Amino acid sequence: MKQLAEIHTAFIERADDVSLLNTPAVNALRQKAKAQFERHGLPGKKQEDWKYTSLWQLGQEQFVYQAVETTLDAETIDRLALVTGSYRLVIVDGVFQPELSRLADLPQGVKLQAMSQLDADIADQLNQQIDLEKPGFNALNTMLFSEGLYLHIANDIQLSQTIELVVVNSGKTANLAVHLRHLVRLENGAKATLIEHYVAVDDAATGLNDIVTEVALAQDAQLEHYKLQQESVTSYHVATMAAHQAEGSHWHNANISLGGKLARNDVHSRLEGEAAHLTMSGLYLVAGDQHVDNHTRIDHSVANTSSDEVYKGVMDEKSHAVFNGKVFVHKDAQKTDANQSNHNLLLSRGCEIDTKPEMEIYADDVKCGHGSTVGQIDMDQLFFLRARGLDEVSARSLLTFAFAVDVLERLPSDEIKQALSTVIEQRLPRGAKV
Amino acid sequence: MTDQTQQLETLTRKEYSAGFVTDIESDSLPPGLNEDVIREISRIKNEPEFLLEWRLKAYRHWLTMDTPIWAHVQYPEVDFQAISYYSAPKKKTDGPKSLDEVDPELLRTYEKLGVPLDERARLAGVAVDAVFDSVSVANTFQDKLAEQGIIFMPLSKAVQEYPELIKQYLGSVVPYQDNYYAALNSAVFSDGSFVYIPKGVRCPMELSTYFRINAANTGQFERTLIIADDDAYVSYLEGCTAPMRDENQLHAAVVELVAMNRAEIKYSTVQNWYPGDENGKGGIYNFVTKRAACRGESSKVSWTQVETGSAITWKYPSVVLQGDNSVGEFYSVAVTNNMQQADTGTKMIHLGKNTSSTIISKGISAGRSQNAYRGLVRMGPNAENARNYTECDSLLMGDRCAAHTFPYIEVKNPTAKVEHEASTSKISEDQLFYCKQRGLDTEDAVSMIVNGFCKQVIRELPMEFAVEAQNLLGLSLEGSVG
Amino acid sequence: MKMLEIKNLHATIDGKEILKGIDLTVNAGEVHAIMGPNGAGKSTLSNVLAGRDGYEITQGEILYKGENLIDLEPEERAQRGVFLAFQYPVEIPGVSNIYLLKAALNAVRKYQGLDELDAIDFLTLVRSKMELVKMDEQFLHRSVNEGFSGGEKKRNEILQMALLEPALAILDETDSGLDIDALRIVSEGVNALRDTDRSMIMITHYQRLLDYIVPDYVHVLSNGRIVKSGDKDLAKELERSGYSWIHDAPEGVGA
Repeated sequence: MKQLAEIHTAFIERADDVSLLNTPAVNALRQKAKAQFERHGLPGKKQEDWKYTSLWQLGQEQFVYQAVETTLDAETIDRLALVTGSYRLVIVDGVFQPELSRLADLPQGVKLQAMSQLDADIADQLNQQIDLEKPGFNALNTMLFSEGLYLHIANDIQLSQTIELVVVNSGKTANLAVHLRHLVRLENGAKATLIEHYVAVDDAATGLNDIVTEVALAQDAQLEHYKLQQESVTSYHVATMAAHQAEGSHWHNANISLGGKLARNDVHSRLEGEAAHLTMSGLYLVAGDQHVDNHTRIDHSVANTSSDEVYKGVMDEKSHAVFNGKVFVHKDAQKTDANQSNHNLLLSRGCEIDTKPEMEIYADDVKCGHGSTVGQIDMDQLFFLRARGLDEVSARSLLTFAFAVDVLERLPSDEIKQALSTVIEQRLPRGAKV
Repeated sequence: MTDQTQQLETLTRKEYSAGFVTDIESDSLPPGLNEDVIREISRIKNEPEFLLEWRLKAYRHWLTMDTPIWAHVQYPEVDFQAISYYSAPKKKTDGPKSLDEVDPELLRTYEKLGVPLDERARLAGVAVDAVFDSVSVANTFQDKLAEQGIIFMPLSKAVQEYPELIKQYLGSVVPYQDNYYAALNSAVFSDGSFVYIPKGVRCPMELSTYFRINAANTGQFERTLIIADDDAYVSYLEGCTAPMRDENQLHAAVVELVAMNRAEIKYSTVQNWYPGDENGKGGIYNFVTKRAACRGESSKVSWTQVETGSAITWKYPSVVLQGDNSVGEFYSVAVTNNMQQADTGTKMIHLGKNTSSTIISKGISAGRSQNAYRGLVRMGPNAENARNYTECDSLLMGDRCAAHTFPYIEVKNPTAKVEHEASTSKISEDQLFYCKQRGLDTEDAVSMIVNGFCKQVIRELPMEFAVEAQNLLGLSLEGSVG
Repeated sequence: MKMLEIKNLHATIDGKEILKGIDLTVNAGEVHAIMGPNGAGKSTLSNVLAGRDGYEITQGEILYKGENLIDLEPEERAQRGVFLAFQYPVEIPGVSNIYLLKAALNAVRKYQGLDELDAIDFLTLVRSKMELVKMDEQFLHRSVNEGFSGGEKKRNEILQMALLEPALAILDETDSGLDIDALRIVSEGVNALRDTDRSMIMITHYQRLLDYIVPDYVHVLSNGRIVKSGDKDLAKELERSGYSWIHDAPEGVGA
């Protein structure tokens, strides 16, 4: 049995080998992050944010950084990708794949590149949305990230085509650790749709994906931001999506978590301009001995901002899910309108859900509410369907599916809604009889 | 808008009406805490050896513990060596045998507080045990209750008369290791009430304790133990006040309830400890551990609390639902004004089958106060068909107060159902205007709307308490609305 | 006797001027109807008369029985006999109807220097008033307006008016949301309260209500001003021709 400190040391030793974006400014950030990581390390269960998620198992792993050379063909990527006909940036086993990507013919004012292809120093855009002083993966990611997506859209450019980032674990290298940092910046009035898609070719692929996505939305910018996590159920996935929203901006974040032995998502937005609006949608479907943990935090920092959050989860077999949603209304953030809900469906004996919807409110003229439920398939509905001729297994699947796809109804893009709906149908827990 | 806020603020500025000091001689131990102090408390109370041993174990354990810091409250570190751990009104002999022997000055105190001692007590049908600083000073109706086999007496007396019951139940719901303040209480508790309702007995009257801290620099560490045997029923009321003093005073009580098969305990609290002045000077630190065990099948425990006082409130009256079909309820109103801080809520621990719990929490914050609901609903793996319903609403009055909600929900049984809803909003200007258009002044309008907001909780209180609670709500918010 | 005198009343909300110089005199015992299209300023006028926050009076005065109303709090106006029947009566969860009625009546009586009514006298009084609007006694014990239908809410308003016996009643869109039966019941209640010492101002978009409660005077409010005044026939004329013509009317026409 190993202590967490051993894997800390392993990570720290790796730090000096990272060669991406080797400018003095970036290196300074990495050195600072290294010091912070040495100080805090990975979080333990005594940390309130990690109360229900243990990193003990992750600490037992020995991750590798040298991927076996792999080539995937275009058909495989087409099959794996969520949508067709989009701009595409493909990363396989941590390595950018220019020939599998579709980055040509971008409109004027749109910069979409792999981090490794950047010609400018972007140090001043790094670590703007994340906090490194908190125990967690932010310092680790800053210290070790070696690839990622860079998206910048200039004033008033509205990109109609979707961008899909496809991050593939080929399964060729066991226990491969990949650290990615994505930067997304939309200037005033810009508009885009981005899908972050994590997928494994091999159901038994192992490894760690450690992701940080930083989003900056300027005035009136609109970003539809989807994340679909379909890793193998034998790998680790830890991701942060953190946004800053200026006046009148709208971030529509949808977070679909299906795979992973251990998957942890931290989604955070700071609404710092009036009339900024945030939509958060989330869905987690887990089975077997999967563990998924979604932590969301919404900071209403100024007056007249609004947020609307719905997370739903289905737990089957011995799986364990955690939801923690915090709505923070700062002093003087009057007229905040914040709504949050989390609903959970338990399908079998042995599964577990721990949910904590929180509110901290320091302004008085607000409308804030949250609701949380834990339950099972409704027996009356089940009976109704069976009375109409469905067998019990189909009836259960149908009701489980209906519970889950309810979240997709909130998504603005029909094409993505459809594609996700198909994915979910395939991954549906079988819904054993309780 | 601003007018409104200003008026609201004037309205919530109130005078604490229970803030007088009673001029009475008292015997106190000098401030400080060590094993000798504990031995001395135990000696004064002539306790059996097992209790002294238990106190010492608790004390040694307490020394190894850290002050809890997770609650959403802030205060300077408490100097436990500056507190006197025992204070009693001076008495001639062993203690009052009847009301005639009680110091008339003390009786006047309770009269001012509206405690229905003696004749008034009988008329009101309330049996009262009054705890003044650390000791129980009067206990009415003991004889009448004894006829039915009900034991209702100061804990210190029960230790002498029923040592087996004490040995069996004391610390069985809240063990001394439970938390920092429970450990401290176990080491130094001075007195409190003991209630035992025998099998099949429905206690014919409300039992009641009034707690009052009078002496300066004293902590109050009372301990209440209530046991309802099979098919028994009891309704218990607890009221608290303290004089206005500039220093903070510590109140670290422990309440343990045990409900056996089909027994029911209803525990109601109106807590009006001195909250400190409008700048946060003085006031009681109310760090209390209250827990009930529904040990028997189909047993029921219901906590109802109206918390308007204390500088800081830190309490989570909880129910451990062990027996199948047992029921836990928590109805709470917590009002904070000026610089008050409250972190309060409940824990419902479902272990048995078909257990159910209901949580209704109403928080009202005014002034610059902080008001947090913290709750845990846990469905254990064997809690088949367990149910919980939680509703948690906060009302804000004024733009410098804060309201927080921290509900923990842990479910390990796939047949369990949990529903939690919470809302936070400002007192409605439309409602205020409507009431004012009907001729009510702001103060009455606010009091009416706030009482309406709290109705689900107030109606759970016994009648005589409900009236007191409603008045308190109005008083506590005086000067807060505009 | 002059019950109400409004002189050159200008009022703004969030800096936008809604009332742009209203002049209106209502004598004791008179019933006035104020009609006008949406956005004319009808609701602003009723809210300003009742003293709602959020409106700023930039010019003019409001005299009620010769006393300036503008500096009085809403409850002080109510205690002096100014009653507003709300267009959208608010729900107050947890506060029973009877409790509000009693508190309101006692607030008015206290101002008048009268003793509070005891429980029995109060109940007798309320019951007699409830007959007027054909309300069942169970409404007394429900929370104020909570779960009431549109018609029940409006009847509840008239019940409060009957109980408080105001000198000046302002009925804000009392007919909105009422079916024909409810409209009849409400109107009968209002008519029963007509009195030589009581004045009423009915604010309405539609002429329909005026078939049931016949006014002494009708005024047309448009763009923050009274653009035309007349007797009840003016309402009929409006019904025939709608409100569009008033936009063509020259400035300053009317009262």
